[in-house]
Amino acid sequence: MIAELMRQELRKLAAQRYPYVLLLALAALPVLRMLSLAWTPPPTALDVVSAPQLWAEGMAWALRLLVFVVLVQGALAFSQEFALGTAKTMLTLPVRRRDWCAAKLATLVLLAWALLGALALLAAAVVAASTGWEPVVREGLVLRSVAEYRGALLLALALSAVQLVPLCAFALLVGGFFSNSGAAVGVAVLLGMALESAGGLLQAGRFGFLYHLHRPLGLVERLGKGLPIAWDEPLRLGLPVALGWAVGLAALAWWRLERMDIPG
Amino acid sequence: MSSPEPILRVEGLSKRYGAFEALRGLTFSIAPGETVGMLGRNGAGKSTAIRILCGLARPSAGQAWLRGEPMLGTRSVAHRRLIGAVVEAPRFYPQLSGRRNLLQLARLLGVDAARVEALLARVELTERADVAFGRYSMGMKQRLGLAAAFLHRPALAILDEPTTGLDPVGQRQVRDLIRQLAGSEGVSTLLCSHQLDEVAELCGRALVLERGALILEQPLAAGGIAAVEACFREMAARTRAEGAA
Repeated sequence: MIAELMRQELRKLAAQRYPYVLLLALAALPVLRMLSLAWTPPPTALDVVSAPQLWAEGMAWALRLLVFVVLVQGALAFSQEFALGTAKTMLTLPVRRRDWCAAKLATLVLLAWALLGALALLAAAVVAASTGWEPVVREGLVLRSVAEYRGALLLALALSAVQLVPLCAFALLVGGFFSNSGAAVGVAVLLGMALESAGGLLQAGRFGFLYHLHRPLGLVERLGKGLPIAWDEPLRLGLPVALGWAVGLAALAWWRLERMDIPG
Repeated sequence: MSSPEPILRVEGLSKRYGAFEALRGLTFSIAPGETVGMLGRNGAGKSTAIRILCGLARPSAGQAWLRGEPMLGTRSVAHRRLIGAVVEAPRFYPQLSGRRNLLQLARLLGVDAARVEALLARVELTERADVAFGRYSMGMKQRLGLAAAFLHRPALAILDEPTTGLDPVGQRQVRDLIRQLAGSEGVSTLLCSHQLDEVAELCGRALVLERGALILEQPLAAGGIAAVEACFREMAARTRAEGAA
């Protein structure tokens, strides 16, 4: 049942226009940023942009936009069904609310992961076409070989993907409180951005789910500059925090749907 | 001779929103093959009752049994296979075609595509089946809603104001369809309506709700509709008196 519901979610999404516009923006802006960075002549030899730096810069832009896309799409998942009245059609069928909720969350997570993967490949292609995948060199000295940083790039990508899961659950939960899809999107985006900003300001932000979203790419950027990096925080704190929030927020979204009278 | 087990039995169904009682102890039953009309003014509790029976709202008290099995407050959703419903108005994904919408429902219900095509033909939508639902007229939407409600050959159809917003021709088409579909497939029907003539035409019995309570249960054969009309006249007079006071 969940697989069929997921298939239908994707079919509904594909039949709308706005996802394609979002995709275009999602792909175009990081590429433009990367190209401008690669083609701008560096002021000194120390400012030469390395391949991992360029990739991390493009991915940082992509991730910022992806957060926005996930918040919009997640907030719409339930609120649009309530606004259209299709939630009533769906839930008069022998479809469990928890299955419906699980299918929406799984679809959103898979979509976010697919986009992240596609953007990573696009960024890699831009790097290959501009600076090329070369070792990190400063003043003729090889600081990192390609083999050395390739693993770091993949690890950063995987850690970023995990950090997107609680964001998906958060957007889904917010959308479950609104039968007006515009209001749901507005509130989800505002709350998401506020949480993202607050995470960086407060010490306790380290235990929030958005704090760790950009850290792995930050490490890749440091690595691209030839600086030492440590994966301790993203692995030992970031992962459990993301998984904890993902489970908690998904349970809340399910609880909300299970208890509510379907509006409309 | 004992009467057959009702397809639907509702006892003491209540719904409270804070201090407001939307539904107060609603009790009735529907026999197999029977079509029952539910009447009442706006806010009488008809839609609340239907939303609870369709699993869209939780009752504050009471229970309903479908073929003897409790259907409210249970974890199982298997009983919903026995129900086909149009709640308030047919709602489908506007960007998908009528056919695609029905096919999606069919896959969730385990119904084959041939049944979808047969029903599209039955509700005279075959030629417009590939047009996006959002571009359908009100009458086409209602007909597609009926096709969806009868898609999985339910034992009980719950239809909430299926002719609202339709012109006279559209109303006639939908009424004929309800009679044909319910009749040919032996489906019991609970029809919620604002139109007395519609209930008189399609139903064997009428339930009249007022302020959340059932105030009249009237068989419609042999001039029973006159008693329902008298009930509405009395309600109108009472409203006038309350307004004057």
